[in-house]
Amino acid sequence: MNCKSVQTYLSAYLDGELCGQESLQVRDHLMRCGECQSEEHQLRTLKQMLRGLPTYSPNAEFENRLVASVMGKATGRPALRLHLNFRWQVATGMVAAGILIALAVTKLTERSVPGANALPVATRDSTFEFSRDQLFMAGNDPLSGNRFVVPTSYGKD
Amino acid sequence: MLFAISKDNTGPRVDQSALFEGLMRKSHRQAYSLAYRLTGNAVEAEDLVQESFVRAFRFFAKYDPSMPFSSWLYRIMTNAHIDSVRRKGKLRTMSLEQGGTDGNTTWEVPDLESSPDRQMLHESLDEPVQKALSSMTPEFRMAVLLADVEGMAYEEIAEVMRTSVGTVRSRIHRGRKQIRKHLMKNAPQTYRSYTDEL
Ligand SMILES: [Zn+2]
Repeated sequence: MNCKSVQTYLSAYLDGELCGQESLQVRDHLMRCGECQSEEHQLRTLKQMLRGLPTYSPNAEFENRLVASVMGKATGRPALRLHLNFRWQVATGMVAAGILIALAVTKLTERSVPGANALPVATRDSTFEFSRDQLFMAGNDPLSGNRFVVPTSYGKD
Repeated sequence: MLFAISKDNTGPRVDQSALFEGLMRKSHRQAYSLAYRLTGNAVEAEDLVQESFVRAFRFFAKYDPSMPFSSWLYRIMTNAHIDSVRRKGKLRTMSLEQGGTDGNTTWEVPDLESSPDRQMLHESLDEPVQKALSSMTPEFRMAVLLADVEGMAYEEIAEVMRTSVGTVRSRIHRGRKQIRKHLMKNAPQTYRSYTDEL
């Protein structure tokens, strides 16, 4: 191993994340190379420093506030579903009503109805919900806020 | 009638809610500490913790208990944090006023055996380190924090971040070097007094 490859391995070496063979090679090199030794020492110090950083604790009342807020949103969730279902129902109802009215009006006047525009809007809304659920079922990172985009940032660097 | 419709689609059931609440009460402090390191201030840390638990609860039915709950939560937190950074459009450098102690948060020095001097050094390094962390990309920041603050193994981190062990290794190594560079440039004296002590 040359200095460059040893140095890229140093963090993993310090973390005990190299396999036996690699670890021995690095150690072997460190015994012979002052420059890499000093780099190893610096990274070791830095690691210790990060490990020793104080932990932050939330306010005493945060726990209950958090629970109330998360569970509150959660119990609000069926309501959201309800709302969506209700909207879906309304949309379906509106479509049905629209068709009926359209039919009736066309029969009566033989002219088109402006209210018929409601159809594509309502349908698009539910399609969104469906495609999101499908992304979720397919395991396409449902936890990301980018609901319609499969993240490509991972594993690229 | 509307209730009947919603019944098919309800989220976690009542026992699941109780289970989740228990997990949340147990893990929220640790989650907060990580969130604080990720965001650099108490307000955003609280928001991030809350957003993560809201998402976690929403997908709790998908949680596979063979993975530690904290790992699963951190995976969600990683995404929520990256989302939030991206949403802001740029990497915000934390303002001086917001870094470090801000009255909203209490200190807890984990290593009780460390000397008072060492403790002081840690505290004086806290702000520069936090700034260094804030200057990194969220992926590097998360990898370093999971390794060095949470003490996780690379394989666990890879699972949390849904990437390869090789990527984790590279993020941690480069991340640490970025922190060192930042400290040498912005807090050279404090940094040196720390390294000389060892
Ligand atoms: Zn060398």
